[in-house]
Amino acid sequence: LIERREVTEVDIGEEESPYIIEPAEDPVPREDPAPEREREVEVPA
Amino acid sequence: LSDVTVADILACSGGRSSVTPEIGWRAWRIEWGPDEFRGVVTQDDVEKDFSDGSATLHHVIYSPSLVLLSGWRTLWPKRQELQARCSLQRLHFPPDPDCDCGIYAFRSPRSLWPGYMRASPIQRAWSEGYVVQRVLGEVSLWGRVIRGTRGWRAEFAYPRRLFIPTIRYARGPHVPPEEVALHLADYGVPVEIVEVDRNILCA
Repeated sequence: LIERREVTEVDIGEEESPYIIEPAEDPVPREDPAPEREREVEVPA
Repeated sequence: LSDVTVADILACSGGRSSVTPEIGWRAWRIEWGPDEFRGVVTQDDVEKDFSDGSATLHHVIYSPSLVLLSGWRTLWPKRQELQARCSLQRLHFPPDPDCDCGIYAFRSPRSLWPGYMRASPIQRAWSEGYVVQRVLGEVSLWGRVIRGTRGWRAEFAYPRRLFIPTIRYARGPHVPPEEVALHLADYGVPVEIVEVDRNILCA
């Protein structure tokens, strides 16, 4: 992805060294997991 | 590359790390054109009569899959992070200090506006499709990140808030902002329609 040209004709300025971000919370609103099927409950006679 | 770990990268970056995503600003476009890819990923539910570029607005409006696009042909997936890839196929992790790769964003929307509206929508469409709407917004950035004085380029990104300007482009098809907002709601982030005076943007 070369995003620089899409965002603007100029760059993001003087750059620093890379660093890592490991988010404590997921920034992506994932799809809700499918609801679990109701388990069959064995009812004693 | 598969043997390189996060620890290795941290070692190369002086051990600096964070648990909070950077929040930047960027622009996206929504476009359609003479084929399904330049369109808005409509192939699933729309008749394919784009071959001669004669598709009607009907196809755009009733497509359930309007998506954000950026760069040349970068589609931003819904409810899934976008991961940067180096288009030069170089053997490094994007973003790399010696390359231009990565997903870009600015610190301020003010940095974005001039480039956003400078050229006509059609001229700005790299894939030669027709831009039906321009969208601004905040974006979360994480993974491997390079900070610049005006913004960032990052390994992962996902929209955080989206703003749809009420600008009707003079050329090309028109899709009401309300219609665009409905589609973008699938990203699962706040979407707002904002009244914007085009004369201000172009000043």
